[in-house]
Amino acid sequence: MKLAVRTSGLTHSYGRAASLRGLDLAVPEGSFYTLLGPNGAGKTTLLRILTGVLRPSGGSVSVLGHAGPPPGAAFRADIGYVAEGQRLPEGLTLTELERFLAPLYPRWDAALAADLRARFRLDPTRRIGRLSRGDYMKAALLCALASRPRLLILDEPFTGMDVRVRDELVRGVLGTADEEGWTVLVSSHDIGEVEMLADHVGILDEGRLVLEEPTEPLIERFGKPLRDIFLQVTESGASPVEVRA
Amino acid sequence: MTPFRVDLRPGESPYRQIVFAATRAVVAGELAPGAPFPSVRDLSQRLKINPNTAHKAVAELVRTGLLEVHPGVGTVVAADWPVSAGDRRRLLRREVEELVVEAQRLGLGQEEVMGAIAERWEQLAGRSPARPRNAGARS
Repeated sequence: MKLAVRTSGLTHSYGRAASLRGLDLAVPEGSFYTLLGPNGAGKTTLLRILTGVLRPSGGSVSVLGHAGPPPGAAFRADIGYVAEGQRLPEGLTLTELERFLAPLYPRWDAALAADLRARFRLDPTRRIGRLSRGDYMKAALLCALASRPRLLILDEPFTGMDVRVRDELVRGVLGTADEEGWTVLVSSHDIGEVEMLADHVGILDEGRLVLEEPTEPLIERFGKPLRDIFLQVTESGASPVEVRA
Repeated sequence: MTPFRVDLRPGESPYRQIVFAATRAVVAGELAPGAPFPSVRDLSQRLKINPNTAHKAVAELVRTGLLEVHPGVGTVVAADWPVSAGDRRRLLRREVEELVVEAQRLGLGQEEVMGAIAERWEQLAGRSPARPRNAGARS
């Protein structure tokens, strides 16, 4: 099985506090991989390492075949990343932002951007800083998707979004992911939303991967909803915040 | 909206749930023979399920003959479908036995169970224009 992401013995510490304690992650190419974990489990740290924003303290990382992650332009073009609380240039309109991004990404898809703009009902002439939270998030996702990345990384994309926006975000991703067969890696503490989406699940707890498995056999084996599996395997027993559609 | 009812429950394989819901819709005639079946992409977006799961479910329905792929047209509901002798044996022996064992464990009488089966049977078969082809074609 070809892997889009592989880490081995990955560690990271903020000062003396270890946030990742020897993480072996394997994200198959073409999968929709959901990384679950309570707040503080290390999800964001891990994603920041994969996107090259943070350096690991130890262990190895390989992303899309680059042992690295190297900070080169080609590498960046291959990854679409929407951070938690992603900021966009707020003085620009969406049209201006798209015009700015297009030449930076070799596979930028203007037709897809237009399609997503219509689907998300975004006003391209409004300054991004004046968009609602939901529309702001949709604009960020649009930019990530239109670059046609080989790996899409979304950090808590549904947090704080109302049901309707979550629905649109999910359908936006699904509508493009299917065609391209790219890999999607999503972190979430919002289990209700991802149960039917993910074909692979990794559960992170206190900087360790406590479980990593394809969703289908996982649910069959435990015979219960992902939420209950999550509670059973996270030893901290911290309750996930669950937002249901 | 999907052309058939699916109420996805957490804790059960979404793949199995979709295959079952589509099969039920076909045998109940909710999906008429020749009716278009949603594409993998449509199914995935409408139900908000993983495209790979949608793909697997459609592939299984094609394999069992409930759906047919018509190149250039898409996937449609079959007018009739092949039924294997093995599948019939499995239902009549193992699955009926499981039902009987469970009914006895729950203290249900034979009449209650037969009544419930008859009721379901009417609900589903009453509207059904589609029928399986004779057994023995495949085993």
